[in-house]
Amino acid sequence: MKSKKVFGLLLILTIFIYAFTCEEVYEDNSFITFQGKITDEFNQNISGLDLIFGQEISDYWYSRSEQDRFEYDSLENALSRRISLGKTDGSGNFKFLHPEKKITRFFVYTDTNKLFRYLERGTLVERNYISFEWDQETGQYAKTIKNIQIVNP
Amino acid sequence: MKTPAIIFLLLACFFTQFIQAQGMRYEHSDRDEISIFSWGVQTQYAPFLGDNFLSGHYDHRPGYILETRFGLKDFVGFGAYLGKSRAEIKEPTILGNDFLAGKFRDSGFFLYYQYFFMERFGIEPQLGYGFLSIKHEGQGDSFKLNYQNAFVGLNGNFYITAKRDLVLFGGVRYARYFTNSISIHEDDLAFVRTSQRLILQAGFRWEIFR
Repeated sequence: MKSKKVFGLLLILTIFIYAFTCEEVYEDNSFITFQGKITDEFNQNISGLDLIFGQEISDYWYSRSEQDRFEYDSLENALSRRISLGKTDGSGNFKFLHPEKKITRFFVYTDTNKLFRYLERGTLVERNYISFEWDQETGQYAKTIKNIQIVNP
Repeated sequence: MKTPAIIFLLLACFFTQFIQAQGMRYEHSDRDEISIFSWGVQTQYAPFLGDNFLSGHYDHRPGYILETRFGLKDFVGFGAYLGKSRAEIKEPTILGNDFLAGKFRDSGFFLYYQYFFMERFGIEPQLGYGFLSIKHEGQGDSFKLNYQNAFVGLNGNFYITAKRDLVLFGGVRYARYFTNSISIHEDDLAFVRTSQRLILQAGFRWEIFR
């Protein structure tokens, strides 16, 4: 009797793990665009700023702290860590495209550790990255973040 | 959709002219029919052209095509094909750095008309419609893109054997790719949704006559 319970438990666990690993993360035929505008504290556009576009991925989703996650995304590991590069244009605007994914967070940051100040869901936040997160209520990402100020130019 | 329609109309006129010309030659030719069934295998190199997503973001490798054909009437036939090739991703600005390569799967059908210059050599204009699926594989998941295409082609056929059952052929196709199924920011729609492709191909075909 006990062995049947153990077997049943293992079966359920196996099915759960299989279902989790086979989950389709990408939305076929769909790209998502993340964009924003970066200025200095006096609302002057910052052009030509080198930016890194990264994402949170499953292999360190649970195991690393936020700070570890950010530091892990080094430029030397651009390909293996799924990072791409970009710049702000003459008006301080940036735009990154990516295949649409359901379960992830996307980040924009610099390799010079700039500190960004912007509104996130009505709250003013200061971070060394800009976060585009999946909103469970709307079922969408925040796609555009306006008025991003650099606090430490 | 205007361009494929115009190509279709032009090709229809083109085919009509060939059919009339062939009808005049029909009585004087040793060959009076095309094969009722054939299948072939061919290698292809098919780069995309122009300034667009499919041409600029992949480094295409040669692939292969499997093809089967059915003779319909006189010198007109119907064919279907399945092609496979692979491309390395060389530009990550749209695909991200999530994938290293894409698997290209082409399938479709075409009408062809065989025009013989001599006993063992002829040319063959084609008109067809196809589907392209690009599969990018990640860590346990995949991302697919789907396109359609309309194409025109011209093959040269050389019959190797006296029984005329083995054909060495080579040719070129020009295809216009398009899709309405890809959703992307409106600024990038035209860049991603349309492309052109030149398909160079050569291979062998086995034919069965009545």
